[in-house]
Amino acid sequence: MSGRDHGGLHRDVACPFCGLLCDDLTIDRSGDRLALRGVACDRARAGFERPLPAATPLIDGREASLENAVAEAARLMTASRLPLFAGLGADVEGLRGLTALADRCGGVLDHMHGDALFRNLTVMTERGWMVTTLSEVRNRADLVLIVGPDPRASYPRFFERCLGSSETLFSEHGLTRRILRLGPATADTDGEVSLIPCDLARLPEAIALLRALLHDPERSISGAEGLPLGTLRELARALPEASYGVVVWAVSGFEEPWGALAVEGLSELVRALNRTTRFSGLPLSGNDNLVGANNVATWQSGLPLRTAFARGRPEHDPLRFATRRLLDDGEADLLIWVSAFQPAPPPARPASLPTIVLATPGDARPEADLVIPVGTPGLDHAGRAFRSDSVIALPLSALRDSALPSVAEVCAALSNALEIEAAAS
Amino acid sequence: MTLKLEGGRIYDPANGRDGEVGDLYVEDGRIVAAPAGGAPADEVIDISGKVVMAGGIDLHSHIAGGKVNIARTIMRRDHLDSVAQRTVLERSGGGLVTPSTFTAGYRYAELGYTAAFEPAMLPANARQAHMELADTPMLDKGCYVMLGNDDVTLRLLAEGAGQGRINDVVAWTIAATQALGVKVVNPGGISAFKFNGRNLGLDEASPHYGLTPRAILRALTHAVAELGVPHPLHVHCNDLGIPGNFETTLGTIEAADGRPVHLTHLQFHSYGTEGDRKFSSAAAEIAEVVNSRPQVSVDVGQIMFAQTVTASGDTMSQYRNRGHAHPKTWVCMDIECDAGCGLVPFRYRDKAFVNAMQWAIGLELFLLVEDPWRVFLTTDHPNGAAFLSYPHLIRLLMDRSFRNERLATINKAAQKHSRLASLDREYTLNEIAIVTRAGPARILGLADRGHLGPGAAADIAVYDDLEDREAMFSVPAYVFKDGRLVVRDGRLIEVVWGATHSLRPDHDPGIEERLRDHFERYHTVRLGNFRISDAEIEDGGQGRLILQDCAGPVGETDPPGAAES
Repeated sequence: MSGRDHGGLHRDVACPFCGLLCDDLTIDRSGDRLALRGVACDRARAGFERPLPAATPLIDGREASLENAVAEAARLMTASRLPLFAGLGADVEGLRGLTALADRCGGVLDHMHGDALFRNLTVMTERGWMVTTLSEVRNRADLVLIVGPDPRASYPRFFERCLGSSETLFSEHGLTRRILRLGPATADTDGEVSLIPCDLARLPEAIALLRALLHDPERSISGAEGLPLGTLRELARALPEASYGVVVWAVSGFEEPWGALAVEGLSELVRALNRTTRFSGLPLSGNDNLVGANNVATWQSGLPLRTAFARGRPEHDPLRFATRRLLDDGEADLLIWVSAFQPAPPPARPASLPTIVLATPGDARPEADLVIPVGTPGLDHAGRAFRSDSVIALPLSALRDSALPSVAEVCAALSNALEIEAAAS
Repeated sequence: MTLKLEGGRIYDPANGRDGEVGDLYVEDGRIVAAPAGGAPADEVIDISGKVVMAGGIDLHSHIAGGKVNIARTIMRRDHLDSVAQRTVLERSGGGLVTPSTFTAGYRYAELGYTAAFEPAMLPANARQAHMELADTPMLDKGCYVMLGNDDVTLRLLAEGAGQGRINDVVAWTIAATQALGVKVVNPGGISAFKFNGRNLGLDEASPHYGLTPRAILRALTHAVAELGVPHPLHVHCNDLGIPGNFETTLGTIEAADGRPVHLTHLQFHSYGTEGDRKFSSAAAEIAEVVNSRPQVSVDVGQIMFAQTVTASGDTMSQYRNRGHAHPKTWVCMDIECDAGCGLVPFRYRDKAFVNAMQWAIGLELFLLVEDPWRVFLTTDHPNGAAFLSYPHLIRLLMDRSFRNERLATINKAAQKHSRLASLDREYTLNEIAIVTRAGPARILGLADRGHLGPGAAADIAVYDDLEDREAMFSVPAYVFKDGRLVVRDGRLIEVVWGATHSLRPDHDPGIEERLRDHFERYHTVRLGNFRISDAEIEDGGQGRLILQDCAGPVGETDPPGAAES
């Protein structure tokens, strides 16, 4: 946890604003304003330095006390037959509270980045995979194949923290890495990375081609028009020569219908390469503590997100219990939208759907029947969150005094209020 | 308020009580002496005719942490097929093999267990392991932290750092990760696999570091002994599952150089190469050596014939065994220059020669290791079988005719190759109390657990004395956790939260600055954020931290009862 022994400076602060969870930030606090000092990315700066508008709970747009708002939320939850707990941008403490409430109220759990989660999780669950973590990549990877869009758009410091040429454990003078990217050209493509141009939607074909070429790089291929066949042949010769190769993908840049197919192809590519050398996958994801939400759901219920407790026991279906489908088909009769890291508005939904928003205050008032502003873990209160690779969970610090309750505190109050509702009925 | 349990047959081997009829008194969560002057208790429960023991203690059960959560994920079927309904008391959940945290706690309690220890906590993943244990009710818990494949220790050893420096790293890591013991998994082998090593023999130099597993074992057994960590180094030997690996296991005992060492899931490390299938039992050879070395303790890792999943830090072995995956979904992970994990689902079949031999080898070990204080009842949950199978395993140990009936149903060649039928030993209730309670408490250094003497925590299990020992141990009549009645007739009646046991071994605080430098140079986490605070264990009041003394191993050569005298 960060120390407060340097005046207003907090050191080694963990940043909760993307799945990398960089924990080397220095934050200067003055009153309620936080400023980043030294190394950081734009995403972190935007998150930490965002002015926090004053906010109070709102019932039907009118200011209310927290106590009354919680009582109203408990009333809505008691009346609901299928409450959808969505968004789920919260710390582990908040997620434990939300999972307990979903269990109690017969609700459904899904995260705002649930589509991205299941592009990876489907492959892991159906086929298994071989993956690695950030520090292994930083110290070992001598060949890095990035597939899809440049991950720096979502994970700005990925290169600096994992692929930089700083001293590594096994080579005193820095590792010579070869970095390639198979995917669409982008404006910020630079000299560090050799681009193998490929349209996003054709990635599964290119990956399948690469897997076929692994067995025989010279084999004759037809039907690969528009794919960089020559470069893929060269890549198929180069990959097995790596000592510790890593295939990186960021599923947020993948799309249906080809996203999960691409992940499966990459996972199988990695497994095939391990017959003779070492290779691992590095799936990047996990903004808004997506990985934490899925981990908590899994250890508490035995099943991942997109699990429903409507029948008093967990039932899982990644399609049936997706936020979008439940809203479009009108199955959910209450939306509880949680977004503590960013003021993300609740998704489009029927105007008649009762909605409770637990979110960090933004410039716009959320359109909802009930709004309970909450603090951001790692700024307004302490908490814990998971990194993209799922192995690392880090403590998030309280950097300023905040009157805003945490999601966990609101959940605890809701749980008490539900007891009272139950006793009264 | 005082509770009296009246007239039970008390099996309390740590205090030399072997089934004598007597009364137990409980006050403020502790066992107390009979009130002076015969003052009446506030509440009396008549347990006459019933068997009473301390609460069960599982010293090796994979119930929490990243690899368990991955195992839950790939064992989807286990969770779809055996869901646990929400009740007034219980959270919903489910799973037999990889239960959700709540379900694991409830089901352990319903078997009379009051403590379970997660044996493979990666330093990098310690926070998740503790968060999952924090959500595991009913049980006391603790973790053994994995070292010996991490690049901090290996680098120091390769540089020829003195034992004192190694001790400091081990002590710092125990404290920083809130561990109760230290485990080494395939010493050097997980690291070797990251350098594309596919095997690592006990005296083979590892890639990059040039260290032998023997040297790593020597350094870590030294460290654990010199730091006064009560539990001996918990060793998952090299060459898991490989025919002929019993020689590696015997070599591992030698490598400990006479210092205490605990060999875990020994069944997977007791294989010979005899017979036409080149796979045989070496249980007798192993047991003979264990019997002659009072500093060696073991747990068995018994297998049962069922679907399960193997969850291990041993990526080298798990990758090697991926072809046996059933279903064919397997996961391997390299982790943070620290360790790794591998998950391979597995179905043990009674008609398959090797699986049938594994079943027999486990039972042979139980029956051939003579001193019950040095062998502990485990299935390496879930690797050999789910902990739910303990009552069945107890019956196999206590009931020779039942055991032989089961033996007659397994693969014929395995029946012929096994000496199991010739082993007449039947465990007594006293011995069961040792291998499931008193022994684990002693080997972990938990002075006030695993026995029923005054001052002990009132973790108590009461069973009906049934001839069918499986039925008996499946449905305890009463279970008390810290003096509270939590299970009645095998059903949960109250949910409580146990404590986490940890240690603070003495060390040079200067090690932290050296480690801080290492973290900042090579890692992607800062040292201050890596460390787990006491407040995280207390976790808003749901958890409680108990620090055990670092006074070294307890009574490994003492006669039963000595620890309490």
